[in-house]
Amino acid sequence: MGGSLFSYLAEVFALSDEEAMLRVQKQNDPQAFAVLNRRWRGRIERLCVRLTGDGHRAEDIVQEVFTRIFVHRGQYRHDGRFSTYLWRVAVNACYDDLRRRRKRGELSLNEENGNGTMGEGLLESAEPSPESAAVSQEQADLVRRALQKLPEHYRAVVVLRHYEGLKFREIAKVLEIAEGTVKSRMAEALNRLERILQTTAGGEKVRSANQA
Amino acid sequence: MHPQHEEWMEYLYGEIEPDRREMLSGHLRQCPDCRRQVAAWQSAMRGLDGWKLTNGSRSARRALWGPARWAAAVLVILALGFVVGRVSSAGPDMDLLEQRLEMSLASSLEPTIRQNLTDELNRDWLGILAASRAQLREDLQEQFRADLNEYAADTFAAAYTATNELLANLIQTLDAAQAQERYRILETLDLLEQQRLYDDALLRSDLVHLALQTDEGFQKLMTVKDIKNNEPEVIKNNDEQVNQH
Repeated sequence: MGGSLFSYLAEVFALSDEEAMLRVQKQNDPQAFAVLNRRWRGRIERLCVRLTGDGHRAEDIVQEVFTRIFVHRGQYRHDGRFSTYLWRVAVNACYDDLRRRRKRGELSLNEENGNGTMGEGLLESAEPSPESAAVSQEQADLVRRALQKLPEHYRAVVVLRHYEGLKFREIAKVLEIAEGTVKSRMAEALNRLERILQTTAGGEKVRSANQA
Repeated sequence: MHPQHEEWMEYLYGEIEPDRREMLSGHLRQCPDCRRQVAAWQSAMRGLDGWKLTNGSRSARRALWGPARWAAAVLVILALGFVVGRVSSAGPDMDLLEQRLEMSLASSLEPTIRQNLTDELNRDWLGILAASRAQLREDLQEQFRADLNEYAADTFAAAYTATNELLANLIQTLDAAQAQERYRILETLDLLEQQRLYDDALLRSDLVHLALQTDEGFQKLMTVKDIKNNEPEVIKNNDEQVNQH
């Protein structure tokens, strides 16, 4: 029993994302779905933290994203990469969450100023001293607030390109817009961010620290 | 003519063709306006780098639990899908059902997942433990056999050595005993020889003494005989007198 189980798991873990999703779709294979979850959960959670600016909300959204993927597995089309589909579902889930919170009055249209969390469980903490760790956390909070002041469609482009490293072409597929639009949104987003950071009290400190 | 912003984005994020990159770098050296704009974008990019996230400990923990949780979730969803399928045969609104399913999943997934996760883990672990137990038993038996053989070999070797030592000791002892015995025998023989020599000497002395005495007697006898020869009548007469009496 042990041998066959392990060989089965080895086979499942060797699958590409697309092959694993095909198994989920055609065979309702729970192990294949577990592999996809394991591979992608961390990145999707980071995306959600940055798009919503709230680490606690992000955990719930990630759960929702994978539930949606499985419940609507029949809708997945094998004409592109699974990751593109997954990013799209995640971005839309974040949009939905922001919309719901805005309706409930938890967010203002022109963005909230700091009730969120930065995803402390995911914050890098390689700083040698508590002082530098505190400075780092302050910088992270400034950036988080600046990002939340961007309109969502700019924020999504920034997060996908700058933090998650997707190519502009792939972002265009995720957001289902033209590649040129992605690039122009990116340029505009950086312009706005620079202005926001300039007007923020600690903006200079953030940049000087990063330059150092 | 200035390059488009879109092109500068490709430039800044390394997605531009090498020859085009050269052209933009050349333009940047000559155009202060573009230099200022690009510097502002780079400043914003450095600012963004101030918020670093990683797959932290929580994610790591979740990654461990995630596969099993989702495996359990899939089972739950499949079961619910079966129920929905049975109900849908009576002709209810599928969209409404699916919406309700999703909502009920969202609210009830967590405890059910945990229960199923526990069951799933139990089943998997019991199977793995059973296999491991059998494997462990075989390994232990094999190890025990190997140890036993090794121990036996060592014991035989040790016993062989001990036996050899004992035999060597025995031989030495026997040799010593034999040597001692030989010494005693020789000593005894020596004593006997001395005794024999003494007795021999004593005997010789006695014989010499005897011989001397015998010789003296003989001389006396001869002397007597001579006397007899010189006085035969007297003797004869004496003899006849004796016979008469």
